[in-house]
Amino acid sequence: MNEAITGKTKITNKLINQNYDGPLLTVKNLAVDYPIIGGIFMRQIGTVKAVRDISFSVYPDETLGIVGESGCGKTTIAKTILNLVESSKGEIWYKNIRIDNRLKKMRKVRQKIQMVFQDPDASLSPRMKIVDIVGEPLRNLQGMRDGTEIRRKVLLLLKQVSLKAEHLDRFPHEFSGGQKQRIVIARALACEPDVICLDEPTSALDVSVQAQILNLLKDLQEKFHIAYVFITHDLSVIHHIGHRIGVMYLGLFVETGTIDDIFYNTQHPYTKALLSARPAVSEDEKQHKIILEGEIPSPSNPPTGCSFHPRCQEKMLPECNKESPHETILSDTHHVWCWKYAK
Amino acid sequence: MMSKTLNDSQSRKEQDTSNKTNGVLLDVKDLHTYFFTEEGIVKAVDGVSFQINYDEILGLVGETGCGKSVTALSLLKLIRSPGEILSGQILFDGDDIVSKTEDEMLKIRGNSITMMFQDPMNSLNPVMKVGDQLAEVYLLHQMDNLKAELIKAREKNKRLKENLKRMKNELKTSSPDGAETLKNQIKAIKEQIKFRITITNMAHRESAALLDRIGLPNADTIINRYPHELSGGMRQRIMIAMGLACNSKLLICDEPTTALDVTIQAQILDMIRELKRKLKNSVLFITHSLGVIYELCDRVAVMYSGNIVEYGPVENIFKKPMHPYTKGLMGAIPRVTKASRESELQIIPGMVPNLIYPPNGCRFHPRCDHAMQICKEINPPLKLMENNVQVACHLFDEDKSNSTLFRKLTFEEKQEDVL
Repeated sequence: MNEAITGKTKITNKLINQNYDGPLLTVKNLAVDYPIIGGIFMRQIGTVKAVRDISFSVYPDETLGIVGESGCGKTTIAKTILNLVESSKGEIWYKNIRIDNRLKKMRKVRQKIQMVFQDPDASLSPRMKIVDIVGEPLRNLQGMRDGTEIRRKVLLLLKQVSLKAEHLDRFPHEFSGGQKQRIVIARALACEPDVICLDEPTSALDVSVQAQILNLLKDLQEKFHIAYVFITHDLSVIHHIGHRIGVMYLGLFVETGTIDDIFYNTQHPYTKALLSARPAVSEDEKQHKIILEGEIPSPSNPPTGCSFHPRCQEKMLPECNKESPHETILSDTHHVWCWKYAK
Repeated sequence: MMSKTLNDSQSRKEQDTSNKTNGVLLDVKDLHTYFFTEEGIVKAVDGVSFQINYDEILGLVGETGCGKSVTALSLLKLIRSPGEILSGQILFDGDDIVSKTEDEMLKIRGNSITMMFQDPMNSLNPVMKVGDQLAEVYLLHQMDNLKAELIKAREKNKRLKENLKRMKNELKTSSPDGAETLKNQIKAIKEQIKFRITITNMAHRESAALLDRIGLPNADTIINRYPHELSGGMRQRIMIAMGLACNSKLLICDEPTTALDVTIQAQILDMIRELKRKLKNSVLFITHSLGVIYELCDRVAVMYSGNIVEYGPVENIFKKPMHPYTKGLMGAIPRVTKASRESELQIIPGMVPNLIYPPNGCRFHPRCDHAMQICKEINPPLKLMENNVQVACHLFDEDKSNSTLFRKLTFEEKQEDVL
């Protein structure tokens, strides 16, 4: 086991590229608070607890899906991993290097952890050519300077995502939504990353294009052994591409497990409701609908006890509205946070 | 109370007209809507025909840019320059909408046909309270009903006032213990006539009642809020309430659940289903999600590049899709079954064609696995197959004797038409 790198140790390329057997990315007890600024003196008048206590790890060749409704803190996790948002508690490790809140040293690590955002329109600069967009990480993170060399590398990357040489000198507005998302993926691949955080990469796309992107992501994973952190609200997408899933509700995991655990051995009432709310497309997928009342509560003022209890349709136990449920280990991979299983 | 009377009269009217039009509420025949842009003519809707029956939900499904929304806008004649409805008929209850003037359309929009748009944030006025916006619908479209209600309410008030006078006179002459109960009665009546009865107040009262009916809790407080204070699901519900305010016979929903979470989407779909059962109106439901169609609709029309390629009962089409495009779409949906996880998702190669220069013949042929010579030359018309399904595809032509026409195309030949 390699020793842990924290504090002021300089992060070098050698450190980043070392062989390491453990998980690529480890998140321990992560919490992120956003301040609410208000009042006449613009002081902090409250906090939005976007992420409250999240732990997981990601291994090579694996896709970890994070599923939940909007406002449950999925995107904040991805942003915190890339240090785009400061965490208030907890640790994030890349291999054996601690990376949380070390903004200045992040540059080297950024080569290895990349992100793909939801809206490809917003993540491509409309005034840059594709060759500059995809070449930017090569210039900035890997220090490549030679124009022709960058062009050659970019073309290789575009070919990986089934785009052609003629696309090199075009501008983003000349592409369709699916092609734009391919360009964003090509850019993320530029520095040969180990982990890519995908924040709802297909939710803005049509089904037929979504299928193309999902197949592409699967192929790339096989080819380059990348680990994905796949954030989505669509359970069928994660069923197709994922290996392990964490279901989130209001900044906490409510159930984690493999695909089989979550889809065919569902335990938590929220996961059950999410699964049943998904519109079915054939007779054998159709099931009894559990329609949740109301909406996700405000993260600035979460309910006491289990945060799901105001919408939960199971019989309420006395603990439910008093104390947060503990983690219950059902099997090696299947963990659930619900009082029903706590004993 | 008001809506109940309205419902009765409407159902009576419906019975009259349903005899006249054979149970068909809306009959669209060979609709062409083109946009004359500087780059060329965008053939957004190119020969679309479909019917919506009474008390039915028709789904219109297709990818971005296939002309779903333009079809819906054409039904209300909301196409703006440079767009134009070139030809075709839209028969609503037997009346042709295409030939109507703008003034006549103003009466139809909102009264008989209501449209609900995709983005509730853009369709609600951010500086008006939700209640005022809902009341506006009543003030614009149901003035007659409101006036009748107003007269009724005023008469009631008058009666109450007379009562009050009489009681006050009685109070002077009555015994001390009778006076106590009389005083209480006077108090109650005063409470009732405290509010001035104006037409706006009536409209507000109706709006609150409507929100109550569609299951929004605390309707009284919600009507005093601004749109930004509500969540996405609630805003969508307000939009639905607006659509329902007039009990229109046809409700057009343009992707009403696209921006919402699955749990909220399930709530909204449940609500639309419930309301349709109660009000017995017809719905045209536009979406790109096949799952929503399967959950909600009775019949479905699949659109591709300005044409309807498959059209029929939802059950039959989902069980056995016939058109290669429909098959492709179904294959592209990730399913939640153990078998589906191992297999790759099917994809439809290529992209949606440019609507200015659509491919000749069948517009799907450059992406189709079964493309034949005839597909390049003739755009297939909708043809009735078994199970009431209509399909526009040359694969189902009966006479395939001409071997040159029914020769399979190579990849290069298919790409000739693509720009």
